[in-house]
Amino acid sequence: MPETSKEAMVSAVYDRGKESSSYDEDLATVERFLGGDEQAFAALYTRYYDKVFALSRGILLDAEEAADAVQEIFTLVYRHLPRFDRRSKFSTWLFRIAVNRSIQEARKARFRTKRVELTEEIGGVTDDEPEVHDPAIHMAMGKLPPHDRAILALFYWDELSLQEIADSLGCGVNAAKTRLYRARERFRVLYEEATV
Amino acid sequence: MKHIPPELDGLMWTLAENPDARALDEFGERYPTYRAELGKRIALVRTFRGARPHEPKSAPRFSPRPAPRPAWRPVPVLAGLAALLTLGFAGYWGAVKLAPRNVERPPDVVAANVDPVQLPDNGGVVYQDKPQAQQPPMGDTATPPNAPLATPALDQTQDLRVDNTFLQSAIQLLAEGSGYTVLFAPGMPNPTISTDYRSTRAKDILADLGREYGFTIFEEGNGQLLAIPAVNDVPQDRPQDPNAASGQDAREPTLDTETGPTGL
Repeated sequence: MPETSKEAMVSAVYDRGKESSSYDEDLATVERFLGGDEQAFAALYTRYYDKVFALSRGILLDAEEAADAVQEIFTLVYRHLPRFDRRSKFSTWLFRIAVNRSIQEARKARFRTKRVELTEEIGGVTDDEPEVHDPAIHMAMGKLPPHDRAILALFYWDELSLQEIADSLGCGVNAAKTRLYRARERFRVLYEEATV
Repeated sequence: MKHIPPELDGLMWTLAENPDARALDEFGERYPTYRAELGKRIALVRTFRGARPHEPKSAPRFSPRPAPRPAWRPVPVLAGLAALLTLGFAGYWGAVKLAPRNVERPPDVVAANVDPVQLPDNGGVVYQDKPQAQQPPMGDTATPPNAPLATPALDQTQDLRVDNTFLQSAIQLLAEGSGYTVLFAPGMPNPTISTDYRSTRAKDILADLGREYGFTIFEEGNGQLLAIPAVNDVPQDRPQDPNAASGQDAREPTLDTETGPTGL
């Protein structure tokens, strides 16, 4: 395989999402909200709810906790939107809040995770247990630290570019690339252990 | 899987994340030993992406939550507790150390400050007493200055019966009976005396003896008396013994400790 095609393929994957058509639209909506239009915030909420939920769900590994965290995240955004300095995209700022808040919640929920595992062991699975396509995925993700889960969720589930991930995590692109590589390797090892 | 070169590892992840048919064929032809590994990674990425959480069919209505309560901040709380403890300790310390102690005030005695004065006419020495109020001990603030004083020991009545006893021994006996010690000045007469006082105040006995044998008692304070022999400060033509000549003391002694003078 020629080197040029290899680099092109890599950059095509890593540079995805750079051309965000919603960039200007987000800023315009933010300006409307700051001008007093409450419906503008509802538009932002509807536009980003799914992505924030997926990210939070990937970090927290629990649908209910993720839904609760999403409400917290958007409450923070609602209160602190006047502080948004517009140096980055609104979505980057939003994801940064979402990552931090979800990781914070994940740390708080460690003891609750143990309680859930105990419940599962004794067969007490509730009806509203989140649907999991592959239990090995859930198991491997559960063994990863929240930071690894965050970067995998941002990359594979929210399909952010490395630049966006770097902005969301507050690090450089190279650091984000290294973190993604390590998180993926750890996940692969854990997943293979779980599927054996 | 054995160690995979980093560049091949990265390439396989890239292909797994963006599986282009032509690129996959080329990779398989070039690295046939890694074909299975690539297949596993493609499956892994597909499975992982397929595990993307299902978002709710419609986003729940958003309503901002009330502001969270301020988190418990240990540093200000601990600082406040430390301040309270410090104040409490300071209050206790002040109450214990600075409060006036309940010490009984000693009697407000007057001490004699004796200054020798040279008399040019006869070269003799007389002792001039300068009454000076004695300061109470430091820290003694419990008793107000105008509180009633205890009866001076020399005001208490005593019996003194001696026969052929030295005068100084008799004075010493009397002083000890009142709780005093006596210091005799040089030249103090010490004849043998016989006397009998009954139920008489000690200061009156001393004054009487002083008139008879020529000495004066001064109360020095601190439970000490000073006995000083009488000095002839009258002209030579007068009798030496003032008591004998006029029937009066050269200097009328007094034992009135409450009014200031200390000479007995």
